[in-house]
Amino acid sequence: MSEPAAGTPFLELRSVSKTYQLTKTHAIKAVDSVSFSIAEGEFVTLIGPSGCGKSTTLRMIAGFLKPTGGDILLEGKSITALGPEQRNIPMVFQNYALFPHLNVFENIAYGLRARKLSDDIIAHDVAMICQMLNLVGTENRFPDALSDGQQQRVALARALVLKPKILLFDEPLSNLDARLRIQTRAEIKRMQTLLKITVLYVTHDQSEALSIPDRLLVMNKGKIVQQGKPREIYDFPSTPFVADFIGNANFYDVCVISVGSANVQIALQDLEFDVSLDHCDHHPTKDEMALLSINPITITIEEPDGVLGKNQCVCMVEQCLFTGHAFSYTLAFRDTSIRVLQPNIQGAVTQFVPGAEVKLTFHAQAFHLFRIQE
Amino acid sequence: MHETNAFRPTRKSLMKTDPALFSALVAVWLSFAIFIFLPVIRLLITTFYVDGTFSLANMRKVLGTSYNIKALYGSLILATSVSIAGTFLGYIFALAVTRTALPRPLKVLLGAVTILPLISPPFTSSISLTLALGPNGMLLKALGIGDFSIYGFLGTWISETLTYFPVAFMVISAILNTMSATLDDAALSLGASRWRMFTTITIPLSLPGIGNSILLLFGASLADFATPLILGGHTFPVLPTEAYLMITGMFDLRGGATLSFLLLVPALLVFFLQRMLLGKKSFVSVTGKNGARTEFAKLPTALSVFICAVCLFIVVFILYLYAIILWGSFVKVWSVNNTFTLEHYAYVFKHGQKAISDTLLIAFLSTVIGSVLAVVIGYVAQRKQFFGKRFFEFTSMLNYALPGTVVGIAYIIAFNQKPILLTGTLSILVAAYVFRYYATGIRSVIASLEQIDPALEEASMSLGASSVRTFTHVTIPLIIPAVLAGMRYLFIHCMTAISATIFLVSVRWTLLTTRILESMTELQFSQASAFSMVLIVIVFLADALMLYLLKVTTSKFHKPQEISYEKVGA
Repeated sequence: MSEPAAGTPFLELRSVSKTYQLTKTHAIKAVDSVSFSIAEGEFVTLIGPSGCGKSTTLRMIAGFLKPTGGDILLEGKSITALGPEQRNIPMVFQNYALFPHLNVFENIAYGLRARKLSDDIIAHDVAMICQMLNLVGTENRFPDALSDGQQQRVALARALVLKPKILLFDEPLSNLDARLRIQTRAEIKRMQTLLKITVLYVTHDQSEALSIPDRLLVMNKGKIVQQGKPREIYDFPSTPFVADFIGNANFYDVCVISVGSANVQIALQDLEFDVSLDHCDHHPTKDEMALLSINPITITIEEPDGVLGKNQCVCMVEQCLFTGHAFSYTLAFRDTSIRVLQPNIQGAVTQFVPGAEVKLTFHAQAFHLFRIQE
Repeated sequence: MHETNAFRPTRKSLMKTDPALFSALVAVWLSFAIFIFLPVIRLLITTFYVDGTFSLANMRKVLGTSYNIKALYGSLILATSVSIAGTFLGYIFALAVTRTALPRPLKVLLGAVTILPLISPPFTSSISLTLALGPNGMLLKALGIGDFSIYGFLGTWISETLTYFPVAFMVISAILNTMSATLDDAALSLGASRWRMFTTITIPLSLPGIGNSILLLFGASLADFATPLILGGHTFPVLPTEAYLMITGMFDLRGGATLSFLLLVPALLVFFLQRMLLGKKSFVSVTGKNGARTEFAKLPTALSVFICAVCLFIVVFILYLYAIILWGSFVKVWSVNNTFTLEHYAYVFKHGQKAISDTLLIAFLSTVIGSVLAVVIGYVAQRKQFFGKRFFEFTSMLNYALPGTVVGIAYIIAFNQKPILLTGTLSILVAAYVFRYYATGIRSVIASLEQIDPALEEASMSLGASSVRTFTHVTIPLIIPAVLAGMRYLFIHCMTAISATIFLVSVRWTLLTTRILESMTELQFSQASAFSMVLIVIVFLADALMLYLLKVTTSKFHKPQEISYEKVGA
């Protein structure tokens, strides 16, 4: 499961755990023996549902929390015992944490002043970073007089001006509106490529997680469940959780009819499909019940023409939500339902209204088969 | 409910648009006229009118006496020293509770000990300081110091600092608690040391609280009457005691009024400064949604150790002083005959019974009336728009801003003659308490209403409830905790205050606090201790009952939080 990171590990976590002792008998494992490494210059995103331990992991790397087990290494040296002020790992906070009593200039200069640099150098560096992040002219303003986007950029500038080797982001875009979020996302990626900084970025937003990073770590219940390139994880989820959380998949219990050398034949309701063995997380046996996941984007929807080929069926539309770049359908599928996402290609796609009969085409090469967990 | 819109071009008469508001305003303004404006105006007339014309003769006469000048200086120097020392101690305690790694039970103990001076009558620390460091004081004997006098500036300063630093503690710890902990994290992650974080983030962000606390303590010390009366002595006169002695000892009402006018000026100045400070937008809440819950970063070790040492010393000293009072109330004659006796308590319950029942009755009446007024005034001032709103709010707080001595003298001047002859009655005592201490209730109601989104009331009305039903079914239940919190302070103040009411007690109506003062002036220290203990126990029980009620009413839909003293305004 763990793919070795390219190059030597820059930041490495070795079975890091954080246990909260709630009462004498009751403890919660917020982070459960997590290991991963990040190469120099790599952009890694950590994604998971709220409460999965991703923020706790980040805060342990920053030094705000002490791990209850394991070791954190930066450039091969253990930093577990160091306080946050000794690590030189700045963090961009979800609420920005701008110092409200300092103006933009002093906010950005804060870390430089802590490093006792001369006023000339500070003025120069701050001016440079303001130029880069389009903050020129705001230097004398206080945080409460800035727009959301500006606050966000000051928070970024304050960390970047230190020329850190590694930068942490804790859901930095969650307080921005959708349009600004996309802009800032591009900005962060641009800065990272330009300055060749190593980045660990925590988010719970799938589109954010998929779009920016070189590598993605998916976390659930205190553990890393899958890591790899965003495309790999989207196309080849290793667990039902990942298929659900990243791909928003449809799930069905299916029966294995027969197992071939390369394919396995399964029955979904009255339909039969051949799924490649490469897409199974275990070697299925005949008559076994398995969990089938179908990504809504892999199903084609069209006007019924009376002819039903292989992997096709007719269903009735129950609901259609238009999201701009796609139509999100919910259809009655035998005694259950199925979600289908149809891209709004060139704005010329027919929209089916609730009650309409449509023909669905399944592409079994995109199916995934999982063992049913008890 | 939101009928009265200030921007509406044609303004209808308030009587027609909102008759309920109109009648409430008329009633409240009328009570302000009688119990707030009339006394202050009569005080000014007594000071500045001689034989029917404006004159500075009284002022010249009073300022011509060097002893009075000394009292003016004394008051200002004492207030300055107390506000600085008390704020410093309060800051140390607040840091100990919010920013150190002390175990939780110890932090609770720190908080509990600081409550003691707040619920005690104002003499408590003076009495015990006298017993410990006064003539025949036990600490002096123990340390073998023979030639030392507690009387004068030093004793007054120590005693007032101990009495008022809890106010500073409450104001500052409220500020320290509402600071965002991620700011600490941000400073550290940018590479600042813990000392640097403390000096560049924590201290600057707590400046509003420090400023507010200095002003509050300055005002409190300026107005304090009980402590300098007992500990000031002849070498260290201050204005409130001089005014009191001039009226009760020399029967010079004009002189007393003039002295209290001198007191009124700095008190009002402080009041205005404080309103300006609180009116300014605070730094605390700039950013919205918070990230992961996080704790405040700990202070540098050396500082933590220093803070804990100071706290330990102060806590031990306070407990020691209270132990002295307790012990003092059980011995025959303090320091002379230390045999155990219950005779002082027997005396208190026999001869002090009337004082106990009078005090309870007056405090109860004042609390009830004051709370009702506070709800009406607080609601009107926060939720309604009407002409003269700011002046309305300001007036409601005026008696509270003025030192008690000023209010007391103004009340005897105003209500000593027809048409409103009230001296010697229960009403004058209740009125003095209500219009002085309901301010805490008003502040607490306003603070609570500011927290309650008007959308809740709008939701109620959009669902079809009338504005009256909305008030009784949505607003009132939501502000009940604030009302109770206000009542709590109101009751404590009514039980323990003395500065205003010392002028208003009579043979018919007397108070526990005045009995303590009498015992002290007769040098019956043990009796005074017994009275104090009884008063402390009563206040403590009543306070516990109020807290319990607060807990019961808030458990359903409120987070268990106390209304902060800062909002209440102390």
